[in-house]
Amino acid sequence: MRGAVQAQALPRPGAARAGWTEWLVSTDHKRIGVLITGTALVQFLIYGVVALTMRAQLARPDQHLLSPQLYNQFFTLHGTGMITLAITPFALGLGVYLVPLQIAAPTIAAPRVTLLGYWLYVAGSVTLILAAVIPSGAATGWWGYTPLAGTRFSPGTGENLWVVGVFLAGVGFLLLSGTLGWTILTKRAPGMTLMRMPLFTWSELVTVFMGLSAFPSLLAAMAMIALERAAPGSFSSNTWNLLYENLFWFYGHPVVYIMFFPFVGCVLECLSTFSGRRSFAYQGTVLALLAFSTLSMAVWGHHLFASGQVVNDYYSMTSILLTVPAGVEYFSMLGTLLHGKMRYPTPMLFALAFIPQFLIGGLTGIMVATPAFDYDANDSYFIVGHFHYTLFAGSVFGFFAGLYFWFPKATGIRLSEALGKLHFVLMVIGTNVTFLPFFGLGILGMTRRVATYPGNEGFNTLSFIASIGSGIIGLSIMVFIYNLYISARRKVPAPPNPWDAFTLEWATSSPPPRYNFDAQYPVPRIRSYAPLLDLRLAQEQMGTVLAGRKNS
Amino acid sequence: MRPESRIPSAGVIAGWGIANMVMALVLVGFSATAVEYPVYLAATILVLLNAAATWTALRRRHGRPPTWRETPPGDSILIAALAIFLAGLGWAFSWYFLPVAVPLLILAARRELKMRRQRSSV
Repeated sequence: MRGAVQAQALPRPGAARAGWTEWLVSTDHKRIGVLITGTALVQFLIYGVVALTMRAQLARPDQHLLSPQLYNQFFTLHGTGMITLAITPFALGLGVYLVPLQIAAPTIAAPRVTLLGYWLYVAGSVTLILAAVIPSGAATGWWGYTPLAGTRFSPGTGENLWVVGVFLAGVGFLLLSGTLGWTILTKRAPGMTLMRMPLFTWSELVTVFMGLSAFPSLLAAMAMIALERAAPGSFSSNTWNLLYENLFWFYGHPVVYIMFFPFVGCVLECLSTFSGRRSFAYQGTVLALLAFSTLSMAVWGHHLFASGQVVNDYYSMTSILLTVPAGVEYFSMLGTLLHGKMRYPTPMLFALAFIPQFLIGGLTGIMVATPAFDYDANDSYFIVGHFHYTLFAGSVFGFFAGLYFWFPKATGIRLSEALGKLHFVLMVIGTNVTFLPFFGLGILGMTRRVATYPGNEGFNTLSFIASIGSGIIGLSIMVFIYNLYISARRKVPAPPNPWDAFTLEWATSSPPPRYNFDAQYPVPRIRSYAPLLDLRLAQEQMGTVLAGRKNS
Repeated sequence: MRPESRIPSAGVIAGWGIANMVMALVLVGFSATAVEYPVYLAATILVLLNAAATWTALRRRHGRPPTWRETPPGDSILIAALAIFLAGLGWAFSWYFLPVAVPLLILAARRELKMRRQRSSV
């Protein structure tokens, strides 16, 4: 393999082990990636059902399907679960699977540490679910502000479990970020320079930079609550409360981008492949990703505008500056589409929907980055609409684009296109019917985290429409699950490159061999970030030359 | 195709860290509270330490391609994660979990050391 691999013959203590137990202790990055993404997908379904239950409660005024305490536990589980246990691991899991393939590395750096990262994430997940289901479960929201999270206001064991769960998952993600970053920076194949890396790998690189900076802050915040709960009164002054809020949001805002950049990478890869051309302005896009991620570390204080304890000017400035690199990325996406030979399979549809939907989330983000508007919109449904447009209408659509795109590579079987398109249509309708009314509800003054509302406030119609929309999203997810089931039964085989894509993972078999490339599927020559396109163009050129000689 | 610029791996992470350091210093210039900017500065120092580690690792390799060894299955990793999980439950519920967690952690450490000794002797 281009002289890059010097594998030694080692005793294999688990060589005789077979079946699913082999998966649980496997150090193959592809298996770990599938485990992470699969675990996250299962949890995405669980916390989705939690969301549907909350929407059922809010469909009509004065409903009591859930008690106020249980409702608080539900939104805590939904928020913590979706952010910490579903979408963040989607982002990192895709990277663990794909990055070594895209840079032609036989495996990930420190695979055992990567495996530990996965299992700590699982441990954190189990603990967080326990935190929600026991009596007096955690009910402080996904941020667990002090003093609410202290023993005085949250005396039960649920909050203890919440702290442990978030801490364990945070350590797991820190390890995953470390090994992923180390792989990209030090383990690329000969010829794979940084400026020849696919944009998805670049998006993972900036994601791990942010993860390495932000996850330690989360761990410090959790350690603070743990100490406060073990020795009540340790952090009683308001300075400590503010320190907690700063530590939490120093993680809490970057994690939004950790849950965003890899899906931008997915969308860029899909747009390029299904337009049949290279990504427009590759270097500018890379620079925009680096600038975007840098600025993203400097905006956390906009979550604290209403506290009056941060310098609003700075955070407002940095938040609004984000439009510049975001604009460059949008130009890159749209420029790639121009003059392309367009095809519209399911991953392309999800990628295309990402563009306008995330734009709504981004533009409303600029609105709330303005302190004067934020004071009014803070803690209202407007904010809920904003972040669901970024995380669901943006990131989750990007995730499904990536899932449909790389599913044949990872499994060797193709998903049904008809069911994929039905999933897409229902999900677009459901997403917009659910989350657009949130902006109206926010403007009307509906506050977040209310278990119910009186019938005379003017929220009834919009809230009912939003609940209908959430049901349509639920239906779309059921179509997706049926698609997985039926495709697994039919087993329509996928060739190595079913989409005519350009990056290296498509040069190997579907699914790839243990060390990604072998004698049958060698690493092609790497001359750009689209080596398979180079190869195709060279072959076409050669064909033209030969045809010309034959004619002459 | 234009000649390609070669950006060093350590340079990209160091550059990212320095850009964040600049943003943190600008925050200081905005008269931020003593709670805000230390968090940011501490994080940028972490990034720069990562850059130094990358630079050292690549310098030791002297431009040679990366090398790989086959990695045995991670039985000990799974046991260690279980032990850490039980220790976490111990903190949340009661110390009764610790008598189970500690032996598991010792078992995981012994298996890991044994595996590493085997691997280094090959």
